[in-house]
Amino acid sequence: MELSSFILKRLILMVVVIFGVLIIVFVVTRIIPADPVGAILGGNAPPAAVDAMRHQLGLDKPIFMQLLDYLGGVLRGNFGNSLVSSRSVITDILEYLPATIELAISSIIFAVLLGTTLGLLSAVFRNRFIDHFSRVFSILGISLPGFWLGLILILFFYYRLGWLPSGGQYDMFLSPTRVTGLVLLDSVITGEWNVFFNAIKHLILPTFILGYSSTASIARIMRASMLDVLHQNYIRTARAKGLPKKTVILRHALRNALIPVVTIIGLEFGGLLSGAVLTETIFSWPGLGRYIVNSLLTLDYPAISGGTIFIALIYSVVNLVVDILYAALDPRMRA
Amino acid sequence: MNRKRKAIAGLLFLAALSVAVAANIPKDTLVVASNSEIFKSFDPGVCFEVEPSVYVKNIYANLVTLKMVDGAFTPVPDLAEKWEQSSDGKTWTFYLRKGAKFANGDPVKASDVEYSYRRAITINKSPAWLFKDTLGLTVDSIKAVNDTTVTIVTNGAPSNIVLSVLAANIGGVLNEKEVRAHEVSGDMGQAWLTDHSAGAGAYVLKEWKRKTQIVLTANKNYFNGEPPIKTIIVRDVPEASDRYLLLKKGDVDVAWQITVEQAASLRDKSEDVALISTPAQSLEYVAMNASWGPFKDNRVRQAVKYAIDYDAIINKVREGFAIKNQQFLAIGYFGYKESNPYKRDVEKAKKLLADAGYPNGFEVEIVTSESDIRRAEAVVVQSNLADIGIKSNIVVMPAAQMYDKYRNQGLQMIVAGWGIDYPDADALAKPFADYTVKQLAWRNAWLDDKAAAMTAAAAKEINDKKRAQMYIDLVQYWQVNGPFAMLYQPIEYWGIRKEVKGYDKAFEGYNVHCNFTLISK
Repeated sequence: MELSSFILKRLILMVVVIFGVLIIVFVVTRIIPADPVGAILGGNAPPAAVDAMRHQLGLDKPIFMQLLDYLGGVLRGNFGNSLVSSRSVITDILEYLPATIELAISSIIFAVLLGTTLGLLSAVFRNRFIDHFSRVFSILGISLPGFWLGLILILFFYYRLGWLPSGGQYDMFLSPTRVTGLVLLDSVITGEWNVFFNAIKHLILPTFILGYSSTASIARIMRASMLDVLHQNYIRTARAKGLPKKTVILRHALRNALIPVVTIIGLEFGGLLSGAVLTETIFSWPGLGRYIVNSLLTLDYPAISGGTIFIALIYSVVNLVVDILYAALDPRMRA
Repeated sequence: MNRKRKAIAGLLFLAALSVAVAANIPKDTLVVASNSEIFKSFDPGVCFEVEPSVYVKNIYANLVTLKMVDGAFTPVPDLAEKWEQSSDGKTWTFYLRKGAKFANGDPVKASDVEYSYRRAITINKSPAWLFKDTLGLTVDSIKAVNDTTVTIVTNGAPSNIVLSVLAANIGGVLNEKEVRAHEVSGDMGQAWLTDHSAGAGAYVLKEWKRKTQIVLTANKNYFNGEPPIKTIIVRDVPEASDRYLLLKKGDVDVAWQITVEQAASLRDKSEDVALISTPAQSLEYVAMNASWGPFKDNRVRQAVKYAIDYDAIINKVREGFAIKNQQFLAIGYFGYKESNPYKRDVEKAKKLLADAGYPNGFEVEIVTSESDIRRAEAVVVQSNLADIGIKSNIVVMPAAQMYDKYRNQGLQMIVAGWGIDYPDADALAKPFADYTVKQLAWRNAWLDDKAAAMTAAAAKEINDKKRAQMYIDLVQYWQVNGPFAMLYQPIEYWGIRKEVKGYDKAFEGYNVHCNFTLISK
């Protein structure tokens, strides 16, 4: 199959997935025996006010009619207004999404660089110190709760040493110009270098916390995959030809060992996007994770649906890119 | 060479990063760390949540405001310098002070008051019932007679109720011209006022970067003179431990919503940080559904009231940050007279249960919300009930689910709280004792006509002495017969840096009376 028709097929599948997510989220949120209006108006609101708001929001219509209304809106690009903020869900999401993307990208870069390096070194120097170190590091990364570790790091690096800030994207007295919403990128575009360095400093701890468990998974996969490749005949042949060890590992083995790693990177990135809420909470990060979790707690239907669809969309796109990369790396995948 | 260059570049990068992290807060700036997740709007006609209303109160001036005088909320002039009440008690005439200006320099006119009140009724958001139901106002009830005189025709509610409601956020006076200029498709400026301001109060909302920070700046045209604190920054810090560390480190001046344990540690030993506290405008209670099984019998409800260890909840769960108050009236409120008839008496409780025909107890479900404090309270109540043979299961529900069931009388027992809407006895008597308003008494199916009639009569009595006695009688009747075991009135607290002065005075009445102009550094 040609690469282009492969991509087309995947795109069609993506639309189906998004549509499925939309219906499932809609139905699940509506069948929960709870009332968002009660939560939004607060415990004191008199029943007349609750009924009036339910009517105003169309929540007194049958679920099927509500679904049709909603789908009609979505097809016209209208995801409705958040019940909590009263703003369009798209406005809300576009305000918080860049912060989440920025943190997810920096975390995945951190995880890939450190994870592949550790995995590679572990495989090459199997059962030596670096391998043991990498193994302990990985087990801690997967097993330590990020929430706890985050607080410990804040206590140490912010409170005791004063090297790093405790949270937020930049210092409170700075007011960066918003272009894309990605603070690092914006500060480069506008040449606000003080913001750039300040934002980097604010990124360090959350990046580490969010990226740590991914680093660990990538290191484990990389090690296994590399060990597997190193035992292949073509590696033995390359060595027998008298090529230096470094060339064999970096030119011949690494590329092939990376194939399974690429797959996991796609999955990990999706996890980083949707699983950032704890990191966002500890580090006061103005991201989408907190928005969605808060929407869940107040049962803010439009915000839950909108937020979930955005995450699903990004997740699908990232995995599509990964599959394309995969197909490019390994032609057998296109079959 | 290449390596050297890389090393130098690396060092430069690190140097750029290592600029001191701690922010130096200027003397005229107050930085507050708070979880601002609950903030929805700064529109005085919309905002009804406790914490955001603290800021709205300082952005908008009202006709009257409330001040703590001898421990009681007392209405005092704000934009109105004086007022009169007609002999039938229904028509109020307010005379505006001369020369008051909005933050943008426009003069404050009676027509602005008329517009603001009519707008609040028309947009009909969460606080609108205060005007519509409590005072019986319609859009025709408010009239600007001339530039400095405005009349309001009420349903004849007692003066303390009228003035308390006018002093609430919904009575904030907007600059009509400015709001009209920002109307979008007939929304009466709602979208714009969500994160902008058009008031005559001490501060102006300069910026609201959601989930990052809120910035207020001093209003140069404020009629009482510019306040000492020129900028207030509210940093959004969702995690309590972060707020506590920021405070201890000096990167914020005030920390809101720290945990009771953190507050207790500040109270017991603190060097640079002090703890400021004030009675909260809320009450914490356990309620029993009077239409459910054993709770139909008042003796069972009384047994529960005698089983609860109030002191353990106040001293252990709240670390002492609570005041024993077993009535629906908060301390300092009209008609309040200390009355705490219940204390833990297991034998008496057991006897009451046996008399009611439940010598071996029964099984009940206690519902509560996701707050740590409430869960801890529920656990104490659970073990107290176990001592008299009642087996209870605790169910923790998210707010959306809990309120849905509660409003439909669908809970057996609940541990919850009630925030006070305006500082008058009526704001508490109605929800707790009058089932016809379909609030707490109704949710717990306590359909007591006598209590409802007593509440309605007290709300209409304009003789203050008589009215006060009516509430004392109602409290007594309600304490014996009602479905509520009142746990306590919480104490609200803040951790503040010692260089901040006047915070205690500013927050004496918590959200009802909070005045940032009294704060300095």
